[in-house]
Amino acid sequence: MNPLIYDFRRTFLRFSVLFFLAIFILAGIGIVYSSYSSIAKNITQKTNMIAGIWEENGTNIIGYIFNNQGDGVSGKVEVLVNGSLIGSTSTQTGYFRLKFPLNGSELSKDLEKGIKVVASTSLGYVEVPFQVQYIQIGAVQPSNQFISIVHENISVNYFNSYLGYFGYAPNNEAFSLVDGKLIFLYLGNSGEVNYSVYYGYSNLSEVSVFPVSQTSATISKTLMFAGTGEGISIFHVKMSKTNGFFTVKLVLPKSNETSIISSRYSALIPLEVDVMSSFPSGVSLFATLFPIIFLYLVYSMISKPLGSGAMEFLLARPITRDSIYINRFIAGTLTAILSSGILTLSIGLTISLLYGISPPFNFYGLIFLGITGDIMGFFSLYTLLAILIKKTSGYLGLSIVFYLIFTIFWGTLALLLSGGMFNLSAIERNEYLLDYFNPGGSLSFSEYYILRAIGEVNSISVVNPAFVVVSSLLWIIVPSIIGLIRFRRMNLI
Amino acid sequence: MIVIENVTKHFGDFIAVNDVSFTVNNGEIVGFVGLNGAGKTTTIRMIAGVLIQDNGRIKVDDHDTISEKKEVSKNLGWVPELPIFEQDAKAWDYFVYLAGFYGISSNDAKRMARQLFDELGLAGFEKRKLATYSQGMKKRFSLAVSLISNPGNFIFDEVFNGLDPQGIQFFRDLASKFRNEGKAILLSSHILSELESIADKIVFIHKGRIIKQMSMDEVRRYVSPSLKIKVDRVSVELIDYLSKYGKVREEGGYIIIDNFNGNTADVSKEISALNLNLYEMSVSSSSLEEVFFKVIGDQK
Ligand SMILES: Nc1ncnc2c1ncn2[C@@H]1O[C@H](COP(=O)(O)OP(=O)(O)O)[C@@H](O)[C@H]1O
Ligand SMILES: [Mg+2]
Repeated sequence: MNPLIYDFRRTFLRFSVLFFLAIFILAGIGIVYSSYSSIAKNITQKTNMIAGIWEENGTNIIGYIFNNQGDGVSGKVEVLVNGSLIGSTSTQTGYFRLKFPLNGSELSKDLEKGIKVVASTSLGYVEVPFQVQYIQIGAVQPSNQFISIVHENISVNYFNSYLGYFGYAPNNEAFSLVDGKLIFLYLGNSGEVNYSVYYGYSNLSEVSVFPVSQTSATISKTLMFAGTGEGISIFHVKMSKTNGFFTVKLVLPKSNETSIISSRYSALIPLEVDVMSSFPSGVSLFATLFPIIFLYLVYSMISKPLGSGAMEFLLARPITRDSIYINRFIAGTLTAILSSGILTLSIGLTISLLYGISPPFNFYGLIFLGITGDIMGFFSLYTLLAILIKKTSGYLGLSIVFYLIFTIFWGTLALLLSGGMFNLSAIERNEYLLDYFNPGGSLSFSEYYILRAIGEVNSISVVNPAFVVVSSLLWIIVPSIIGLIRFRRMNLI
Repeated sequence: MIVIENVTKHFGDFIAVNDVSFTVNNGEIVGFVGLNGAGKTTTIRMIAGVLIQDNGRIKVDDHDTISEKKEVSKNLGWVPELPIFEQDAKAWDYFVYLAGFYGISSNDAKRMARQLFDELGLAGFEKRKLATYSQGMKKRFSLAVSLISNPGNFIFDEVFNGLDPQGIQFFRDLASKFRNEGKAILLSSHILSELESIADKIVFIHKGRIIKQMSMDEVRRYVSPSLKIKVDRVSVELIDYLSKYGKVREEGGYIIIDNFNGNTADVSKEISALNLNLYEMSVSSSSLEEVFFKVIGDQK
């Protein structure tokens, strides 16, 4: 039998390795499941609403109540001024229009106090507050509860309008972006019925000009309100997978005016952020504890044979010291790769199955590399320790100390270096700096890159991809090479 | 053939093996004799290529133990003084694993194991963990593994130590058989008499140095046995008569002839010719060990 295969079999197919791998997979699935069940409560459909208000022979309000896919839902709508009901209606399609006798100056006063449009449906309850200081067309930002949509709702936070109702500068359009649909509300001039809408994605700041590439939106359905030009249209739009700005350009053919509104959005909705952050947290138990299994593997593959003298008998076979060392190192490496691959896949697939959202391929890659690097860093260090300290008990003692230092003490060290608990950004920075000097650093860097991709952390200057790769590789290569050089000439007895 | 040339090994400041040179020729059994701690095992480890010398060269069938380690291992069988294996391995599995290093496939290794375990008296113990093996079984297992490549050179380190009489006989017969097959055999021991009947040559090592190399005949010539006899009546005539065989003295009713250089049959004939009754006659057997200590003593 090929000794390499034998060594591999004796490392990977070891009861302890398989047992703990199974335990860690189950624990990881448990962690994913528990975050799933806490999120699951929130992934039921919610009521969302976009609404606008203006004065024209009294006060007019139009709006659209819709679910997370942008489809209209039936419900009841009430308008409250200062807490007291001043009008109500109900809708089957989701569209609604309300009119009540308040003239401009009264409306203006009420807007100062605050007018609230409240919709209740079987899915729940939502309100759009109008406040004169801010907007007169409200687009609701449904809070964080979308599933199976790609984008967060976009709120209006830029306006470009010449309208000056009530002495304030109100918006005359608003939009909401859900599940490939742009829900666009326009309170136009009468006669401007056939407006066109363009949209585009960009990384530019929100006040910049229209993004470089723009696409004409294709209309799917429109509700126009008789004769006035104001109404709500739903357009199909292509979703972008990268974070940035979504900009909508409105072109009014009659008056030949254009208006641009734009909003920041993130490619992942908040729910997906939670889902994706459960990926690193699902594997973290494994990643922190698996180096202990490798401590044991190095004990049985190197330290014990060395300490007991069995290595000598092995070396009396037609094999060089280099080959023994390299065979066993490769066997450990394969075990590390297989274990972290199996774990990464099983946690990723659990996420896909539970949430119906598949982690992107690069998340799989990052997590797999992070864990493999972490295990390999420790494996390499343990190998060196086993060679340097021939005595088995000495190896065990020292490697446990090193494990504790790098897993527990390192965080404390970051605190100490940052002068206490209060300077959070310094702590974060020092933690990442220290990770370069930790055999398990690659794990925390891979988590960092995932959290950054989903917008959970801001970029930190000390984390540099080249340094991350180099330091992780050095942690694997340097101790194992020193170990090999030492092993070449050492006295085995 | 094993050739050791000016080999030195330090452990820290301590010199365990000091400028050692000797040769084990094919078809020859060389006894490697020294007190405990003399440096025998250290030398043997270096021959086996598992310990690296500070100075000097060792060649096994013309292969250098350092630069051609793999060739050396293929051509050298080694039964260590106290063989140590991976404790929790089963004999059979470990054999198959080790055979892999000789490029033997699993199936061939299993066939080989069955045959060797049978021949070496390990049949029935294949599935046992090596940790449960006795010293003798461990030595046989080492031998089985060594025989995988049917090497032309063998080293037995204190192989008779801790064995029962059958075990000792087994390894003696084996060494003779190997010699007849033209293999070079190095047998270490701290008891010279153990090697008396089988070694062709003795290499004495003391405090890491080779202090003497002698053929077995030379060793025997070095031996000066004493003859001890008891007769019914001691006469001056008899004493005179026996003087021609060595130095005669009386002790506790016995006549002792030191440096006895005759043969016992002649002596008994002479005694009956003098009309004396011979009650007892023996040749002292500690003389080989005396040679050993004499060789060491010469060195001081
Ligand atoms: N690994 C080692 N480290 C230090 N001293 C050693 C080591 N191995 C052997 N020695 C010392 O070298 C000397 C020779 O030992 P050894 O070759 O085992 O003797 P022998 O086999 O002749 O009894 C002894 O004094 C022993 O203590
Ligand atoms: Mg010895």
